[in-house]
Amino acid sequence: MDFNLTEPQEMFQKEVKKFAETELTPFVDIMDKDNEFPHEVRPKLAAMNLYGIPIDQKYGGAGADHTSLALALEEIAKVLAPLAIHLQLQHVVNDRFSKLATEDQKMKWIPAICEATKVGCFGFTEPETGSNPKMIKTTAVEEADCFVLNGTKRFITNAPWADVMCVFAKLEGDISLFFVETDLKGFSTSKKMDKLGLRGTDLSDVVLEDVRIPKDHLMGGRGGKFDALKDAMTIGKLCLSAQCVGLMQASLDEAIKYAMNRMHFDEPIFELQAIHWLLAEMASRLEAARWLTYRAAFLKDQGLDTIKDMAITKLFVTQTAVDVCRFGMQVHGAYGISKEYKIERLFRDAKMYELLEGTSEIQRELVVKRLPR
Amino acid sequence: MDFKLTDEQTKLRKEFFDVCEGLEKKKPKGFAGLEGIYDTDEGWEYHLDCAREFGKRGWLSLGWPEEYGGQGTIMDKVFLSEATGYHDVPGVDIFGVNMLAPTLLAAATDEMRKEYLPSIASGERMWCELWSEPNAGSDLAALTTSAVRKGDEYVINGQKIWSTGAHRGDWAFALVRTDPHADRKQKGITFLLMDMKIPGVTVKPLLYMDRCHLYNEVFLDDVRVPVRNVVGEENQGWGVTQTLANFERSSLGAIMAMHRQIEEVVEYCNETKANGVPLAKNQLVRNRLAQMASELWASHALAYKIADAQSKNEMAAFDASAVKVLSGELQARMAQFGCDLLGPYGQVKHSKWAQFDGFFEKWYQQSFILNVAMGTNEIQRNIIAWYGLGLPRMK
Repeated sequence: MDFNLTEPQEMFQKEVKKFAETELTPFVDIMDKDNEFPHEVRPKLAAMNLYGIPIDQKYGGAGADHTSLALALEEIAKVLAPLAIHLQLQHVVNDRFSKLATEDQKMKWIPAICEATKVGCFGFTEPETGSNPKMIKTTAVEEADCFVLNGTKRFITNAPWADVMCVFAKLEGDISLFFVETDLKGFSTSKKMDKLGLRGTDLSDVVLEDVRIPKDHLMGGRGGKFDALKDAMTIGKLCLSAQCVGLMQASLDEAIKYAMNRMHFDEPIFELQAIHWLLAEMASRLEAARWLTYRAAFLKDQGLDTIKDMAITKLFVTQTAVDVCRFGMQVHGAYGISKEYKIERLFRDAKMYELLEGTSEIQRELVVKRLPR
Repeated sequence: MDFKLTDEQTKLRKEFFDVCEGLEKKKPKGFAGLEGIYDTDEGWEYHLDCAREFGKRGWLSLGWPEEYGGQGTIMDKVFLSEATGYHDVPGVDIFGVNMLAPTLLAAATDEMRKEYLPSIASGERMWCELWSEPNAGSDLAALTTSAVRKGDEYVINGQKIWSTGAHRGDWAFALVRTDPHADRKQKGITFLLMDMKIPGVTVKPLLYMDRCHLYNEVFLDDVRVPVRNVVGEENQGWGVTQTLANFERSSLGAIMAMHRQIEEVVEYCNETKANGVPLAKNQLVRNRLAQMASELWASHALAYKIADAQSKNEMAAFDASAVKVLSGELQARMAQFGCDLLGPYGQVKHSKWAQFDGFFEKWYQQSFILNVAMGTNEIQRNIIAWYGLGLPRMK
């Protein structure tokens, strides 16, 4: 067992940390205050190859491992979590293409996503279907030379300006995966939603009305794509967990900084036992979450990850992030609610992670079903 | 020991609930909680309308001595706060009615009571507080806003922060330092009343994390306040502050609001299915609801005990601290549960997509301040430890 990062991982982590602090900090207000996505940041992310970390170099990726992906998302989330979510989704889309698309399709889409000349989004959730994939209502009907898609997807990140969408739909009653160019007739998006946290990620409904797509847009063959969904979600859970580690680290850093500077009763509040308790809880829980996340990344890299491992990781880490960021708010006292300090944004962003990619309740079900009996 | 209400109390409580039910129907769209009162002009007008309605009925002076226009008992006031909390109806000025009026009755001269209580009782004058400062929050006694006596006036200079509703209030009760050389910082503080519209008072918004306007910074530049506006004695304000703080912590309104939230959530769970199964049959949902309901009833029982003790002038500080901690942390957990219950919909602000009209998304943010305002829960736990359990005093 070896808990050290490799030299390339360590170097990469340092580079991303520096990049995030210098290049991404200026975009905080645009995203959180104005609820706008700063498209000018995409070439910067692409220049660091952040869109293709675990992608084969032949497709323009960095050919790195999932631990590096986790480290990068952690550093970015420390500064601006919504951008980490944006990156995560590109990885999920790239991952689907790399595993299920034809070689021509891979060459068309993956390098473009890595270069940020194209953007993908991922369409599974529907207005009445969040947790049970078997209940999706979007349909794909086969015609002579195409599939016709009809349905509505909800909470789709990047949808308002994406170029391609991976869509789960029922083909002859079985879950299948398609990709859809968003400029096709019949593809539309609603106005974007205003949200509690992760603002600026442009979330909306997608409506598919008789969208006709070529037959080769069916990814990985007919039906049985429940496994593809589960696979996509394991990447998603790892990515979300890594971001939560970043949020927690940022909360702890902010809480310590505040506690060292805030004077009360003639000394910094850092000296008060009540604050010690809060900081100690934050630090301990963060470390447990961090190493569970890194373990999940290791398992993914070894091909040993299971649905249960990822569900446990997501469940524990996202819940812990909510607690740790809340403690961070408590350390700040009333100033916790002020936009002058970072902590309230971290608090709002943290809650979002419990609600995305399967709620904590669903993760529990996934875990329990797979416990040894 | 008797938890039963008398027939008269039952009848009066029902009257409170009936009137508040009627007022709830006039609530502006999107109105919720304290933010609803202070954030928009519409919410503020609704608050004033409700205040006038309560004032007309004598309900803003419940528990006061008759000589000052009072009627009924402190328990009657508790029942009214249950009704306003349950229906989320404003009208009871938390600063004027809940905090200042009992303090004036406990610590002010007869002349002062006759001057200030009538307009509180009628709902004509709204109040705010000028307490915390940028460097005096938990350590409130470290406040430095100065009040220098010049003849029969104080000239006040300083800055206050986190003043709820200072952009709306007509008058304020303020803590100022009248003796900067006192041997203990608590000793040089004076509690006085001031008009918010006099020269030298500048109010600037301090937006909450959801960008609603609840709090303010208040700058006081050579503000002149008559000496006769002091409550109690000069340099004796700290004692007055302790009296006031305890009245505020024992409010039942928030507890009744949570009862209403649980009822609405139960209704939602009975009507809503997830993956084809009613949420009401989901074991996790049932477990969490049951847990919160139990804690809520425990908080409610303690709040009744405090109200009873208050009515007999027997209230202990740590009781109020205990209910503040219990109910505040429970509210934060309920807000969290509401978001969790809604899944991805829990993130959505008030919009066509929002469930419960976006209440839980908003409340998730709003409920945080309950565990920080009027003494953080860390301070409350210290109070419980020192005064309730007799443990050694530490920082």
